[in-house]
Amino acid sequence: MTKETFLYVAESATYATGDQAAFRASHFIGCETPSTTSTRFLFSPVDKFQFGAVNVTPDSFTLTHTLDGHIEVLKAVAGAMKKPGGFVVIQDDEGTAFSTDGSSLGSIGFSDIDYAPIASTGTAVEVDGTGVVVATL
Amino acid sequence: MNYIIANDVALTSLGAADGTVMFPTNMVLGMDTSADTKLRLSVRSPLDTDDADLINIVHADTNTEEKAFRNMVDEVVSVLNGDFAGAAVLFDVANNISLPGQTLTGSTVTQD
Repeated sequence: MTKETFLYVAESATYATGDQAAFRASHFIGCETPSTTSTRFLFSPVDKFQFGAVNVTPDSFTLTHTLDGHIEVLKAVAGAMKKPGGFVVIQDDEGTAFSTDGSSLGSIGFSDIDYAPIASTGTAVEVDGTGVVVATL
Repeated sequence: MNYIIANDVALTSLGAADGTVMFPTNMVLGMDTSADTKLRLSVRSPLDTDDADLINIVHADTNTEEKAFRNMVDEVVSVLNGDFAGAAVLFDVANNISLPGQTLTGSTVTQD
């Protein structure tokens, strides 16, 4: 059996029911960019074995980030999903915003992800710890 | 599994529908022609899973360059099957990235 990569996302410091989830990388089905400061990652739903032609509501998590940082956020999360098995903390909101230079805060538990600066401008990419949304079931 | 990015808008226009997508290669449904100058890549829509997002890639006119579509299919497949550490970029208007035989102007992303 192939090892699976799981992406952990928490949206609040209280960790209430429904506010945190682990998404299977192999269940990733695509992305959308809902606003100039957010990117949403969609997954086949945890309460369905698999969908066929019938339309179903996907699970998702949404990251709120630096203006126009979508491409860098997509690349960073894709890199995490390509890790061959394991557990990756995408965002664990403990009430503190991401670092201003986009460097990893994984050592103290907020994220395992490094976001590169926006390629064309050099602007650092931050993910806002209060703008994370987890949607499952 | 590869993760493929396509983006048809400039940096300051990011964040709207029909602009930027990323999809895994196992969501690709197929390729056909939408015009003599366009390859159409169909990908299962993550927002409407019984329908498709459409990515149109502009290439040379097949009336004058008969192999233009076939060559573009080859270029797209090379990206889909490439050996990448993270995401692979099919094309990206914000960063002026395109396939070798592609014309960025008129290349589009349409989400369902």
